[in-house]
Amino acid sequence: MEVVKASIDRFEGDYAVIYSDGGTKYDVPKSMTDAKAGSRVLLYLESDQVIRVEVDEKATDEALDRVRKKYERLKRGDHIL
Amino acid sequence: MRLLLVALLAAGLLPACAPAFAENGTLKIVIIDVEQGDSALIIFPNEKTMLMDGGERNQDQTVLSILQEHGVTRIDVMVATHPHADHIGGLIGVIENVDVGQVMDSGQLHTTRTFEDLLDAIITAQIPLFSVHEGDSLNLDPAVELEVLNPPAALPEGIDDELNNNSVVIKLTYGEFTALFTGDMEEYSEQRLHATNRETLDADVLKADHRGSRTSSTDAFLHAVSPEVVIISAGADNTYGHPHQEVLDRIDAAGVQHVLRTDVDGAIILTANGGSDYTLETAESNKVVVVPEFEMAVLIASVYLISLVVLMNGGRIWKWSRPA
Repeated sequence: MEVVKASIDRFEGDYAVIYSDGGTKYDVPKSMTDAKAGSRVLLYLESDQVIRVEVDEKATDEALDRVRKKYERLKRGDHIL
Repeated sequence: MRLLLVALLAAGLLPACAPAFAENGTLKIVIIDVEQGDSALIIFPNEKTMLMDGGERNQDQTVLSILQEHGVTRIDVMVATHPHADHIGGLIGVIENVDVGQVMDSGQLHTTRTFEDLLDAIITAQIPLFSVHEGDSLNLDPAVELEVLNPPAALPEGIDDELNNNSVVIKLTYGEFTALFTGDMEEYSEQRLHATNRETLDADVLKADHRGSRTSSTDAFLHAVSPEVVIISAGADNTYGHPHQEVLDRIDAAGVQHVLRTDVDGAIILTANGGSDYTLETAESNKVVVVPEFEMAVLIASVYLISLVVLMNGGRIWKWSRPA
């Protein structure tokens, strides 16, 4: 069994659309998770099939904090030399 | 032929088609076939360019090919309508390969690696980032008005499909031609715009929200926009069933004349010159649609009738005869 870090990008109908940090897209039945879009998750894979989705709240908070800081830097224009 | 056209114009037979001969520059809109995602390139009459979304990350080469095909070496304004991967993914590769003047977004954040990579790409390329909202206008070409209709200045939070509903929505006006670009907004924002901006929604061409998902393109919204043409961007045989049949039925019920789809027609190229008529060509299905159809029919009928008269009069437009 393989475990990969991922994020729930969005919901489309009956699917949660989840992207691993490596860029692979997984259409996972909504029934497999009650997490919100934007949650960082761990995907448990068997033969490239998702068998379990586990919410990683710590990673979600860390990702939001990291993204917020980068975004604020961008809005301030600090990245333009 | 020149004489014939002059004669037609002089006879007042081509009033509806006259703008087609005006010396306005050409506005070109390319709805790029990025499979299950969204991407639109706009080349303004003054040759400035705007790219709205770039599809999934693996679609960057598709977008770059279209830019090359249309001779675009710089994107003046890149719009990320909202942070979902099927809209922003391909923008990363574009930023890495093409000069981009500025990026505009909806002011929303996301936790995906794709979103973070987009921010990193903008930082590395030192591109200014601005968030736009209702009431803003983009000034790329003095002949073309670009009004931002959504999101509102204070982003609504806790609503269903928040990122979709806070998509950047833009109304384009070039002379008599109008088009509405809707990102992935859904029923919530359609209702909001219907209540606050109903008159502004009216457009000749509607780029359907959210690939024709049943969560968008409500009856009231479609009737307010009352488009002649609806363009749907969707991937062939996609997992989600886009465009949903009930949306196609609603579009049909709204009296839309033409529906073009990237999953069926491939890339769709629209050209307009500021008059009331415009042309759409499709890359894969090789369709050519001239709108409004009525005016084209008048043109064809007029040419046919005048040609007939000329032929019957031995090559002369008017047959003179002396009274007996």
